[in-house]
Amino acid sequence: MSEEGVSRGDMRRRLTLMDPRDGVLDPDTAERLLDGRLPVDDVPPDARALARLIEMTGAGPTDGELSSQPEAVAVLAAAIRRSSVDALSPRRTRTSKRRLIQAAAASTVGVMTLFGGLAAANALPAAAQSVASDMLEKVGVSVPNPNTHADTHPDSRPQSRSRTSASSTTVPTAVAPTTTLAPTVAPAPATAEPTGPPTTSDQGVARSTDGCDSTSYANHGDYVSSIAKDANRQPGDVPAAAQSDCGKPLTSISGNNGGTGVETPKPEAATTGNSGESGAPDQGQGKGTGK
Amino acid sequence: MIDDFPAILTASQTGDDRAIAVLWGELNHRVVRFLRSRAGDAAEDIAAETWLSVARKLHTFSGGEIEFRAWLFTVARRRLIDWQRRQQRRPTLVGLPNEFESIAADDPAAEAIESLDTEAALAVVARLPGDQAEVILLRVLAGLDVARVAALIGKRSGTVRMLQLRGLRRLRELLAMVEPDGQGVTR
Repeated sequence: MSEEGVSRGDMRRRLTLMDPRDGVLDPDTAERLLDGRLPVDDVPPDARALARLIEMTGAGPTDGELSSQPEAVAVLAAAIRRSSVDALSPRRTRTSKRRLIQAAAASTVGVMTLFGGLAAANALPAAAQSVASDMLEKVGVSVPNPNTHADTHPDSRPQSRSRTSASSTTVPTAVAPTTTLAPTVAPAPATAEPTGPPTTSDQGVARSTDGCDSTSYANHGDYVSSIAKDANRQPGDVPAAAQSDCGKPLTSISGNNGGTGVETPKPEAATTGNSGESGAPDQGQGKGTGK
Repeated sequence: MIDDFPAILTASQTGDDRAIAVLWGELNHRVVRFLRSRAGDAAEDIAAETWLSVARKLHTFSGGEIEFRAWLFTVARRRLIDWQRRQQRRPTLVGLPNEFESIAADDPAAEAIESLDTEAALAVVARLPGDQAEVILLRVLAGLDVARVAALIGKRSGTVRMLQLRGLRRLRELLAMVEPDGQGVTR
């Protein structure tokens, strides 16, 4: 760049220092003053005072401003070292790990206490209760196990036909003499085949034969349904059949179940020693209350 | 600007006295001047608080010198705001030192300005409205550009440009009030 070019540039810069309209600084000049791109010597006299003020504002430190440097640096160095040590301290790391372990242990104890308490109160779902019982038994804690008396309960869940014979052969021994089981009351072998769902009559539920005809019915519904389907039925036969006891469990007739109509194993049918665990856990009858 | 800032920073982060002295020597007077225009005699105490805060977190800092300056002045500004809240009053308006007035009384305006020292210059800047003074001081003392100042004070760049322009115009007016007949700077 030639000297002539430089001088022209300088001239142009100086001319822009003042806004020709109102004699005040333009934004570009203000920007150059503030970022130090406009040395005081290059500023025309009318703006020199301002440039000088900016320059002095940002001038280097005076002796007075540096007088406290040694003390300040010592304090800062100590603070920096301390903070660095604190940040990297293995003690802090160990403390954090220890706290983490303590929190985990406390959580585990809490969960185990809650779980064990519920198990001891026999308040867990049967499957969980069984698991809890097995686990706690290994550590010498005895809690109720829902499966303890499972073999003494009549199984009322729907089962496949292959199991029916085994079930039906064991239950009648506990039935009162006045009752009969549906399969066994069938008068003739030809009618011994269950007409209803075979599982109902094969579960060992003692049912009434009062009001029945010679046919064996799986349950009361089966009996009423057969009457309703009878082509020779007369008006009033179906209501009468519905009111009869034919096919109803003896327990419902005797009022032991409160007339709910739900087929449940007869409590007495279970062998003695039952502590209140009534039926299978999935029977829908709620939890045992024998405690 | 600090020569080889990355090395100085790294050494400072380990607590090296000489490196810290470089940082402090280059920047402390700038921080104090920035604070003095707003907090008067409390400036050095606030600056000390600022440096201690920075020292405690220095090991976490990464960046160049401009970023370091921006961080330092951000902390300083926060400490200043804390101090102002504690004071429950408006920032101290620092009067012109006698030194400046005596110069103005004895010399023609141009010569007085030529003799203007840092204290007097800061005293004139302190007469600006607070936001204008803050922007000008951050530009000059912290060496930050418009965008960084805008980010630091939470305003838009356009607003910062407007504030700095108004501030400089006002400063020119104040300087023009230095009468050669000895009236000094008046409002």
